Amino acid sequence: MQKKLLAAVIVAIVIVGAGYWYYQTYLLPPPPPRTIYISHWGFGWDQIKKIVIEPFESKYNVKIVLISGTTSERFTKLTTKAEPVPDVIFLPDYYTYQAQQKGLLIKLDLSKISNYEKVYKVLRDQIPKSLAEYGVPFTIQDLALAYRTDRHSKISSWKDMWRDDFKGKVLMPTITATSGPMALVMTSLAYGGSIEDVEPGFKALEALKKDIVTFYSRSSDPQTLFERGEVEIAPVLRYNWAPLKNLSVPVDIIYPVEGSLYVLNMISVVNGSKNIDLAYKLIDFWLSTEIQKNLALAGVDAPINSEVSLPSDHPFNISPVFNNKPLYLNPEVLAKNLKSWVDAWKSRVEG
Amino acid sequence: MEVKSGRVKVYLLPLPSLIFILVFLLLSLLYVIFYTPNFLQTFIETIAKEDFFYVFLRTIRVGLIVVFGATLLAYPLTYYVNSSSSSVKTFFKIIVFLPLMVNPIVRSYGWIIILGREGLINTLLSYLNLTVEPLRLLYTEFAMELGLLELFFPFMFIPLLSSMENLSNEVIMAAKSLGASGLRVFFNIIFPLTLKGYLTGLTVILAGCASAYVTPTLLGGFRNRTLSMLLYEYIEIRFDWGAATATALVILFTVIAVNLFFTKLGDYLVKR
Repeated sequence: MQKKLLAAVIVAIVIVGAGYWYYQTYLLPPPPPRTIYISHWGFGWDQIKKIVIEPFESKYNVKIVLISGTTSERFTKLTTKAEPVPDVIFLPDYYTYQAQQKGLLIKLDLSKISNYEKVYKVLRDQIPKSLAEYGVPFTIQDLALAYRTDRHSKISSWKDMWRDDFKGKVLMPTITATSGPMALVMTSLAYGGSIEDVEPGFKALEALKKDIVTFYSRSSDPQTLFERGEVEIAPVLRYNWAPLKNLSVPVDIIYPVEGSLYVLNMISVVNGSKNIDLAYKLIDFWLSTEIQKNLALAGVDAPINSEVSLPSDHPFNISPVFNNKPLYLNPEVLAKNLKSWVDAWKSRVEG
Repeated sequence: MEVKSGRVKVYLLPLPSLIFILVFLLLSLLYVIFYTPNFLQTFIETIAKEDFFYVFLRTIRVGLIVVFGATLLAYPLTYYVNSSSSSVKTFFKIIVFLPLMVNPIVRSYGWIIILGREGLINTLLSYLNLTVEPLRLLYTEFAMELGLLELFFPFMFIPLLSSMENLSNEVIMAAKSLGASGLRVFFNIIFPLTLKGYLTGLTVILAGCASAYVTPTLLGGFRNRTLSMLLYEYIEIRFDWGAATATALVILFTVIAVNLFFTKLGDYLVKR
């Protein structure tokens, strides 16, 4: 009798357990997706959405909402805590540094980001200690010169922007664009100054200002202005290379003989985020070899994952960056000087 | 007693709009002023900058040029429309208001197509062998003024047309029959009698030019900044809320001063 009872209990437990498992697996509706907000330029978003966002959303049952805008617009929103406050923010390193100084970012535990070790060591080592644990680089932005090859002879120097055939056809970034301070420092280097001493750069740009058509602030402006024939030479960052080469007008991009400069674009987690676990997962996902390679092949960002290999002629193959020995624009120096550079630029170059 | 309560009710009529303006404009402005530490000092430092002075002058200059352009276009047009049939009037009202019905970005890109280096004007000039190199028309103050003129022209057209409608045609006929030339008729009769409407249009255009942002940015570029572009720059780029508040106040006081000046001028000239 007792044995029968025991068997009945076991059968009942098995039936209930199996039923519970079936209910949990097949009948219970999935939990609603969590929402995370990411602040990004929005440049190349269609490709990013396909390559990163959608796979990440389905893998982790999460909904990602984009807050797009220029670097300075998004930085202002971050400092004023404008709603919705992002969980993750993408910024150039010198803005990441300023955000860190204002206590707007959380200190990262880099051991939780398994793909961090795959970032080129030479790049990781360059990042100042004050910044290293508050942002993770995801792409490199080095400065080069783009010009119309059908209307001008070959260029090789940064000073070629001052050439007679480019008069009235120069496009410059505004100082608050990511490439703005880089263009100022590069001009200073070409004219005998340095990162700290930009006065020669200002003097050279004052001489050039009548030949500058306009100043760009948005990532896509160089493509639009080259395509419309408004400009014929411009300092551009690496993310512009692929779109510029695909225009209907012939545009080539060169490294000037004077060298080049680079900054790192970083991903950070915003202080106060309620989705820190997901933010870590997103950063790790973004740095993975597969995602970095696909983003590069789609012409979105140059990879900083050392395991990614690209054809030698691919615009996002960053090996030439190391051959060219570009200077890293230290974000601490840049952040310290930015306000006075902005004021001087607005009155002396754009004014 | 009944008369008194009627008066009270009449006084209540402007109350909703008064509350609206006080809460949404003045209170928010006062809040920002008190929120800014050492506001007076910030205000003085901001407006004392050489850069600010040039931007202020440009804003006024652009406003006056747009007013001048609107005057040249609006007087002949409103005179013609006023003396036309009602269907012609309706047609011109729709045409003049058309730019206001188009998104400012689309409207500005229309100008980019016309004024660009490879745009309509430059292509035509080159085709006629009138230019060797394309002219630089875009990203200039001129392009900005054209865009603003297109945008604000209706605000000159409408008050001027209603002033024209009140103008008696017999007075003009009388002047002409007494031998007055066309110019004399305009300066001695039409202009003084439409002055109120003209000054209304002028004030609205100047105020609009001081606060327009999209059109000056897209057509003038960063080099040709106006006060509203500077205001945006202080808020979004330089993160300087104090200077932004000072700039906003300068725009507001300039508009109020322009309004008061031209209202008084109109009253004075009409009395004469």
